[in-house]
Formats: sequence, C-alpha cells, structure tokens
Amino acid sequence: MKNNIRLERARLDLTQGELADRIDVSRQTIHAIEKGKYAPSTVLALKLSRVFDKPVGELFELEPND
Amino acid sequence: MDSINTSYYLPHYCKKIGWILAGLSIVVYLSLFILVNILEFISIIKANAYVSPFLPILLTVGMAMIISSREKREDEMIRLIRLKSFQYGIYAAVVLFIYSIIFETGTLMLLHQGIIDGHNEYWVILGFMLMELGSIPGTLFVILVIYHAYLFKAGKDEE
Repeated sequence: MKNNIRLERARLDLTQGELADRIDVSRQTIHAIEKGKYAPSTVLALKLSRVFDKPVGELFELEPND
Repeated sequence: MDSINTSYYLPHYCKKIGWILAGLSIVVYLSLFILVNILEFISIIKANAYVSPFLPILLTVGMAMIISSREKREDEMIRLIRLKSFQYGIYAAVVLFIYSIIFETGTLMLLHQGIIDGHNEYWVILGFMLMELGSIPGTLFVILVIYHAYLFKAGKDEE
C-alpha cells in the first residue's frame, strides 16, 4: 500500500514527532508508515485523515499486489 | 474504539531497572567464571566452574522486566512488534526444550555407562549451564533481541 503521509506532513510543516503527538502514537510508527513498512489500522488512518483534512483514499492507495 | 489496555505491563521506568539487573548479572557471572578458572589454573582452589545460582535468576528477572515494561507510548505498531517477538520466543522455547531433553538424556546415558565422569568434564558442566540458561532465560533473550531489532528497524532514521 502506497501513501503520501510524508508529503502531507511536509505540507503542514510537521516533524514525525509532532505528527506522532497529534495522533497519539510513537514516532517510530509514523516513520514505519511513511516507509510503507507498516499499514495502519482504520482508526489510525482516520486520525491521519483528520489531521491532514483529507479523505483516507487520498492519503493511502492500494497497489496491484494488495 | 480499539484502545490498548496496557495495565498489565510494568511501568516504563522498570525497563531501566531491568537493563541494570541483566547487565550486572552478566558482568558478575563472567567475572566470577574467569576468576574461578584462573584460581583453579594456578591451583589455589579445586573447582571446575562455580556459578552462583543467584545470577541466572537475576538475569531472568532483568530480561522479563525489560520485555514487560510499557513503552513511553504504547501504540498499535508496538503491539504488533510485541506479538511478532513473542512468536519467535515460542519457536525458541521449542528448540531449547528439545535441546535440553536430548542433552540430558545423552549425558545421563554416558554417565551411566561410565564413559564420562560428570565431575571432571568441562563440556558436561558447560552443557548443564546452557540447559539451565536455555529454557526460560533463552526464550526471554530471543524475545528481547527480536523486539528491539524490530523497534530499531522501525525508527532508526529521524526524518
């Protein structure tokens, strides 16, 4: 699954730590999501969607092998 | 929603205490082992390998505290990492258990047949030490290493 969390985070000028604080997760989790190593739960995806004020479908995108 | 219940974890500060206990036990264990062997080598004492039973207990408690302590921020990814490392711990426990059974049976057979003398064979003592460390501490060690390896991999480079 691809995502553009890194781009959206840059748009809001947030560090990984600041974004992590906003959605109450660890910085490692944000890092892992951005690197595509970890697919967040629906709850976390919705929290990210709220922070970036964008629908989940615009933040995450399925790949052909998903 | 899916809130994470962390009430059954130890407080975060217990992690530091765990590292101190585990580190201390390894240092004292190795120091004693080397000291006793040097003393034996220069014939001051006659002992093959003296190891205080207190030290493996300290090591086990230390590792258990590290693994069971709450992270600063327990989230869903940490929960997944815990699950993965515990799965590896199960594999390790099975392997170490099989090793213990095979080693114990083999050694007892050799002792009964008089092929080895359990009091003077270094490898027998080493094997029994590994057996002692092999079951619970070995499993905890595998969980500890895998858990921290995943944590490290997840967040090794800041932005």
